[in-house]
Amino acid sequence: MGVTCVCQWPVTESRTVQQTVEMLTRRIEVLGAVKTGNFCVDCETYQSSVPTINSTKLVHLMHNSEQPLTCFSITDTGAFLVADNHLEGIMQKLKGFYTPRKSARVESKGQRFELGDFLVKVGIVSIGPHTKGILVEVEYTPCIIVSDCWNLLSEFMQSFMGNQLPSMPTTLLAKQDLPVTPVDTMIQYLEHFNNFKKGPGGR
Amino acid sequence: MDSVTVSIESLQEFQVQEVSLDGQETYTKPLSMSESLAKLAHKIDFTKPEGEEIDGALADEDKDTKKADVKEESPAVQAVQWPWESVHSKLRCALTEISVLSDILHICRWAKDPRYMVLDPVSQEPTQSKQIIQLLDKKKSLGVAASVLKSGANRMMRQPLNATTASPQKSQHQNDFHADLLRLRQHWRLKKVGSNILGDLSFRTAGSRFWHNGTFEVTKITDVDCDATEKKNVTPLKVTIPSDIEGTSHIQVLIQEGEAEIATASLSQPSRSRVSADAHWQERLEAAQTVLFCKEVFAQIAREAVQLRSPVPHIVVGNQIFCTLFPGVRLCLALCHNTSMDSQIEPLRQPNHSHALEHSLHQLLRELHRSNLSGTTPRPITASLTVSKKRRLAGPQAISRKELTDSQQGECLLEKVLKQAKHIVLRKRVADVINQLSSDLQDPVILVHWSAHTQPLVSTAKIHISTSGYEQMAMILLQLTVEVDQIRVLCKDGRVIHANYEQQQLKDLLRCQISQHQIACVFSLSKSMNMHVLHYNLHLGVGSASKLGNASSVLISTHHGQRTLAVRSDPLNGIRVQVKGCKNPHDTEQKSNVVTDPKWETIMTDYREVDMDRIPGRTFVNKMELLMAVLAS
Repeated sequence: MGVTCVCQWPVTESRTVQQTVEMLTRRIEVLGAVKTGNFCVDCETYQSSVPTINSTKLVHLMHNSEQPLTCFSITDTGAFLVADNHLEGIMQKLKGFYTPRKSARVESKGQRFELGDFLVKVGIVSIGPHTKGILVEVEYTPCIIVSDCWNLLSEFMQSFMGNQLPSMPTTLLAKQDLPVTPVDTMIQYLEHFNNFKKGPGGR
Repeated sequence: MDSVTVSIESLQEFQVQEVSLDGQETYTKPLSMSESLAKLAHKIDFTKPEGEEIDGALADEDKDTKKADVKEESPAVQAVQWPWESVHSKLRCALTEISVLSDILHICRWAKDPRYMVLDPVSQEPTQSKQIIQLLDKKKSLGVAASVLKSGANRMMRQPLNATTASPQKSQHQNDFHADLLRLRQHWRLKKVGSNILGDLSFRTAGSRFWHNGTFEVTKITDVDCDATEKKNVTPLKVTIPSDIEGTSHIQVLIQEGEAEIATASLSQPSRSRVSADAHWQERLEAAQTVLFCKEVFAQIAREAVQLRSPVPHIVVGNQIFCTLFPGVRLCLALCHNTSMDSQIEPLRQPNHSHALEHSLHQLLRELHRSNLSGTTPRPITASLTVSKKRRLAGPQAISRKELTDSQQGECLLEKVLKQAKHIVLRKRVADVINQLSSDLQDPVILVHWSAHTQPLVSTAKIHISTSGYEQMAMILLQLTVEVDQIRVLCKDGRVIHANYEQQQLKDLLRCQISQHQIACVFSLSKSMNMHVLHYNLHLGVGSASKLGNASSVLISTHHGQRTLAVRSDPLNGIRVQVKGCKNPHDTEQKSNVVTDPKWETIMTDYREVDMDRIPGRTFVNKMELLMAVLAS
């Protein structure tokens, strides 16, 4: 698990999502990357059924195919729990407290490429049956400290992303010198999923 | 004297029958005359003869009262028909008997015809009336009984010691069998099936799944001849071991180098230990269990050898398996089973046999057995499935897919043994190379320290190369990590070099390092001798290219600048030292009187080679020091 950056790739009106993904894939393969399979990151939301004062509490249960046996659960206050897959079973038991599946499942599915020490994943985000956009995840596997390798990572991203270089994500900003864990990647994904849910106005 | 009249009268007291609640006592009515007579009549026992009544009157009184009480109850129970009934019936019986007796007497004695019954006197022993003689009789009979018991007890106490008479032998025999059986049960699992006692030699309860059931039978030897009993250690307990696991067995592990024929399977199996047929049952059973274990080990690795896919396929021939470790190096695993019971042939010892690998084979099979038994407790305890701790923690620790697949690829027994064998071969080769090189080259001294902590698959060593006397000048430090397939060399500057199983690679590497070391030594020596270094290069691009590695060189000039020293070191061709600025003494040139400054004589001189063999000095650096000192003067 190395330093990971998840960024959104804007879909222009001239092309469909599929064409944009193909274009990105071609660019990455020209660099010399090798396709090593598919990946899938999904998120299910649970809402607390206990009526509270104003806000409803949400718990997001996320899975990543990169860590197949793990289930990440993140609340909107920022608390997270990394647990075994059986956490879903526990959530079923907690039906009284958390109503399951408030909204449709959000997932990012796509192909996985490896180029040396870098891992690139291009995923199409879909909420239910609707496609919403593209998320690109780039990981530099050897390093776990952000400040040591951010420059290298951004340079690599520039090589196939061109000028649309993202700035450092907020989660990585907070952890400049601390080791990065898989949960940080999931938090980044969650932020992007929430942005997609809010719609084009909330970007 | 007047006599005093004493009147005796019975007390007019009656027995209290009951006391009512208000304190009034009710007395039993006194017996009337007829009732009292009946009571007394009951007391008479018509069955007893009268003579003894007087003697045992006092002793019998208690008995009578008891009998009377009993009798009193039963007539009272019988419903008082009439109080004389029992007396009447007793008298009637007595009359019957008397009449019978009188009839007999009439027939015997006074009959006219004595054909029917004759009286014959019966001799009777006169009963001793004296008590002392009775006492002596009793004492004698008790003594006879006591002596019988005592002799039996003595015989039983003498059991451990050898008894020579025939009759106590059998009972000793009997005790031995059961005592032996008890001892056998302390060591081995026995069960009774029908009328046979069967034992279990297999490792089933330890997790083995081998097809052999390993049962042995325990019987009792019934016929014991005197010759056999004279031997020291004969037991009536006989253990019958199945013929295919009798004898001794071991797995022979040989690492063969060079071209050896595959068909060198020796017919006579070398044996390591012996068990004769008349050895103690514990020895024989243990040997049989070892045979069974070795059979299982061999069956397991033979199965894996056939199933494994490797670049050079493994060959399984009969009871031998041949696996290629490296080109030219072979591992030979053989199951040696010795069934002969001869104790004359000396056990052979194979020099090449690797005891460490045999032991690790045994350990690996035991590990396999243990993994077959489910040893892990399920967490939580109420869960139905047991998974290993790694799998349980994989979720919370967010283990990636790659790590999971890496950890899931288990290795079979043969692979593990092959890895260990490869490591042993590689380690030996590295040691050989270093030892040979250090014995060939005396100039830089090569020291190697092998780490005392080794693992089955990794060993480390540190190599120090330095010139004796000039250790402060330069030193080469190399850290070797010998793994299964390759050797990793870590140099002092941080370079990591991988060498494979070929010995030449490591040798070449060391040679290159040594040639660079010599130049480095000269370089630092020149600094301490106040010489100017004009040029120092470890990887020289000038001159003829070296066939191995790179040549290195250093160019030094004396402090007065008149003489220059050039040293070039090649890993294969050795070191060449050349000097510039020294006048050739054989050069006959006319000395002119005009040009007298000696510097003009040395300007146009060439580089001349120095014959290092003729310079005195222990080592190359020593010679260089002397040379530099001479040049500088």
